[in-house]
Amino acid sequence: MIRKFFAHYCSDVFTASCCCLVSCRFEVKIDNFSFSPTNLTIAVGTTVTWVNHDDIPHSVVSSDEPQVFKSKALDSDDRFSFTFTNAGTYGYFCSIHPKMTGKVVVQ
Amino acid sequence: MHSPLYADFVFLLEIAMGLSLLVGAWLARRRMLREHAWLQSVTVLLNFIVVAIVMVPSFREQVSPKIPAKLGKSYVALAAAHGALGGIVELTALYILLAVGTELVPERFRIQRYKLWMRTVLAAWWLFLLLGAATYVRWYVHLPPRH
Repeated sequence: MIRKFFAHYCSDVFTASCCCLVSCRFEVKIDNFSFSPTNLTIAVGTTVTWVNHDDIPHSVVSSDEPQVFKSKALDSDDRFSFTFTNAGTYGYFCSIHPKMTGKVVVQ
Repeated sequence: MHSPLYADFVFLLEIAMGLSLLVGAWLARRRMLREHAWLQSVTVLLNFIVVAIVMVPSFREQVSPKIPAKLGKSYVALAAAHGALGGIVELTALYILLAVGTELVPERFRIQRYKLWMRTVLAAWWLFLLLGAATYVRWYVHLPPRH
């Protein structure tokens, strides 16, 4: 029942890769100087992991003030995870390449 | 292009400084030594400020933690070579300014063959500039993958 609910919910709302059992984890790919998916809608308590697939460092930095999350410079295949515990809209960008932006909507 | 504004600005400023040193060298050939001294001094000191305020903090945050483990990566190797050569060139240029333009350096440390030193530093400066351009392209320009 729970699995069915999450499977349905995820297929409707999410475009990122998702593993839903009790809590959800999502992966955002960093590739070709962009975040994919650029916009992500998730539930409160979900952990999002960014994985750098580019051959150049990138970072993941919250654009809110004060900063909600900030990664170090991620080399190829490095990961950064953050669990969203509050509802809201969280913009973020790569501090090395500021034109790379993304958004996480937590409902 | 994915570069931050400050990187674009510094890149253009460094090109301008490289050209300014060439103009300075041309002034020396025209025997306009006072103008030559002013132009080269201002350029070297301006570069020192840019290095101290922008390049060193950026290098410490993004490059030095990856040395030596990731020196095999081209983006680290280029930035490291650019940083190392840039440090040597800037310090040598400052030394020339002090040794030739002031009385601060003791007699035995003064430069004798100063033209050779200046020309060597000018050539090394341009090599540093080319390495900087390569570093800029590697870090900020999205090149299509090679097949």
